[in-house]
Amino acid sequence: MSLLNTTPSPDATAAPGGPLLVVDSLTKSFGDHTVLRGVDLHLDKGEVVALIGPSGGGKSTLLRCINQLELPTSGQVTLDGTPLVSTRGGAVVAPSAKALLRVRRQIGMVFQSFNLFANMTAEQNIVFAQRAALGTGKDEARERARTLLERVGMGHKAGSHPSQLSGGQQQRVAIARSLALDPRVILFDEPTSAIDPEMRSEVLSVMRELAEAGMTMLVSTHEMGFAKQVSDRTVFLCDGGILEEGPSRSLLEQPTHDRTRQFLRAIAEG
Amino acid sequence: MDFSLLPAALWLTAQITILSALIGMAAGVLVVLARRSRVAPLRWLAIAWTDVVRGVPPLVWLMLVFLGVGVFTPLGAAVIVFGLVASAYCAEIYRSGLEGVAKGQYEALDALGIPTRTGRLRVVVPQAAVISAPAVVSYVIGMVKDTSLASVIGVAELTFVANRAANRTGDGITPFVTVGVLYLLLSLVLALVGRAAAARAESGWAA
Amino acid sequence: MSDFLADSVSWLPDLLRGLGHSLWLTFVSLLLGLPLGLVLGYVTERTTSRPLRWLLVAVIELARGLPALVVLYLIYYGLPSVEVVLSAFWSIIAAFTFSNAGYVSEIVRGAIRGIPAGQLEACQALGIGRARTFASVIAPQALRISTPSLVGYAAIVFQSTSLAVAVAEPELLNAAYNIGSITFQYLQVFIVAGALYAVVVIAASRFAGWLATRTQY
Ligand SMILES: Nc1ncnc2c1ncn2[C@@H]1O[C@H](COP(=O)(O)OP(=O)(O)OP(=O)(O)O)[C@@H](O)[C@H]1O
Ligand SMILES: [Mg+2]
Repeated sequence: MSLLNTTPSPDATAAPGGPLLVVDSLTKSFGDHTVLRGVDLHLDKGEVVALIGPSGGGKSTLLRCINQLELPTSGQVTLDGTPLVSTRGGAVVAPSAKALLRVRRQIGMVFQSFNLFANMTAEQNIVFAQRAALGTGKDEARERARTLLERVGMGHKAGSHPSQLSGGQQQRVAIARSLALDPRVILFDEPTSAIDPEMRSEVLSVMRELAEAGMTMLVSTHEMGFAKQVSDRTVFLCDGGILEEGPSRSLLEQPTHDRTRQFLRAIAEG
Repeated sequence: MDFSLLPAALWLTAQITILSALIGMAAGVLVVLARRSRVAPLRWLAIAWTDVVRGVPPLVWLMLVFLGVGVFTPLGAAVIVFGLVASAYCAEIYRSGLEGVAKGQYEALDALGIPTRTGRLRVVVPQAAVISAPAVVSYVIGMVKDTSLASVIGVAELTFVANRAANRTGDGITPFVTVGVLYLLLSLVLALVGRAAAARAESGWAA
Repeated sequence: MSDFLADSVSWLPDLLRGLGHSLWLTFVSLLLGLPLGLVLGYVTERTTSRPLRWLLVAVIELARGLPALVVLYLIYYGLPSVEVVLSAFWSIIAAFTFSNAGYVSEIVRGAIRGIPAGQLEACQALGIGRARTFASVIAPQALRISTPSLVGYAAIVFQSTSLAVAVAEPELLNAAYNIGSITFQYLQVFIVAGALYAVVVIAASRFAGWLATRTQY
């Protein structure tokens, strides 16, 4: 069963015009504290990339810079050839409100803390997102919400408010809400970290299906099993820079840098 | 004392409370909007309003508006004063309600590309309203007591009637005990109504 | 405008004398109301006797639910019927102490409830007695938690001293009213009096806000 509306073309990775998402020399400082020091990253269409690294290494900041929840300090992010970061005279400037909305509708985001709207039921969350962001008609939005909830295994909880759902259930609704806007790529920021261990698999299996259906995904995670089995590529982000990247299996099994090895050992023992 | 005067007096007390509560809750919205405005002078004005309105005792406001301005009836002056005072308190309650909405809710609105105004209206305000509701209810219950001050400028509400009865009959206990009980009952009724309303508003999602 | 200024200056001695008396009323009623409220709050929160707790809760609710003006009238006009005659000053103090004690005890109860139960269990586990637990663990933390609210409350007490005008006690509002009834410049004199009240109250609230940021651990 596909989680996506459209089946991606088999040669999606060879789409003309190069990779779908390109991050180019991205830096970010908070005051004089530099968090990202020149990150380069690209995601092909349909590719799943795992972002791993020590706490405070800048994973969240990188994801938030990509969809402009944070304004990067310098560098560029390109989605399908379109630059997303506004610059004037070489300096990054805040984009217009309209441009921001457009960027964010094309880039989905799934948060560690779910962030479902507390005053709405699961279904209302998804209906509202479509109507408010895309102007979808009521019936169509509701229809789609029902379908998506079924697909993430939450059809039976459509009328529940977030406070009545477990973490794993909330996160599945949040994924459905993100999917409802038909994003080109979805960013996941430690989607299972705030969930009880026994509930994580329900979220991870939804993500796995999503990956198999051809969704382009960038996933910050501490789940090495997920990185190894689901992601095509793994990126090790440390102290604000990419120290190492490569096919997930080889990077996770035979890291080349000591720092990576040390991190993986700590995780395995943790 | 003449108990037949009490129903009218009680009704007057209730009227002052309800009218000024309604004025205060509505005007409080304007004040909090100014307080959170992008225009700095509007923000300063809102801060000055809440500080000055709350800094001057209500009884001083009553005298200032009734005797000083001198164009209002006692009842009109009382409703205006208690309404304006309530606007300042409600604005502060709304403000902390807005601050109580989790940061993640704003982030989710941003990440989904939902226009600011829509997000505020459909997500932030409903949540802030539920957070603020209990504080608004207890403020309004407190207003019942405050309205007794209107007796000083001659509004014939409960305290005024009791005071006159005490002066006429020389019995200073019966009238004040009687209206005291009525004040407590009125607060109790408001508390029950408020609790029922809050339970309805919260049903489902309040954390 | 210059008239306004000149008038205001000429009224200032009377108004400031009134302000002084308002502050004195505030001070005396807090001096009596604070300790009473502390004890009332502590006993209500910690007593194991249910009837006692209900009785105290009833007293607190009465103190909080009755308009201070009604309590004041009851004491000033009502008590003489049972042969208890208090001066205006002591009627005010009695009325405010009663209302204050109710408020203060609510603040204190909240603060005591804010101390994690684990700390009290730790005291029990360590075999520390009740009195010692109150003096060394509960009271310092409760006071620290509630100090900002209590300062804020002192500002409210100060405002409410204006009620004393109803029994002709010579405090600030009374002084303003007297000036107004002689000069008929009610608006001006109440503006000046209001400003004096506001200055004291705003200063106290700012101080309370500053304390609140300081008292977090
Ligand atoms: N808004 C901010 N203001 C100042 N510093 C910030 C801000 N956001 C993040 N930082 C700093 O940026 C650094 C990177 O944080 P980030 O949240 O991106 O790390 P992370 O890799 O996601 O860590 P974790 O695994 O704990 O989520 C940290 O040192 C953090 O203190
Ligand atoms: Mg993070």
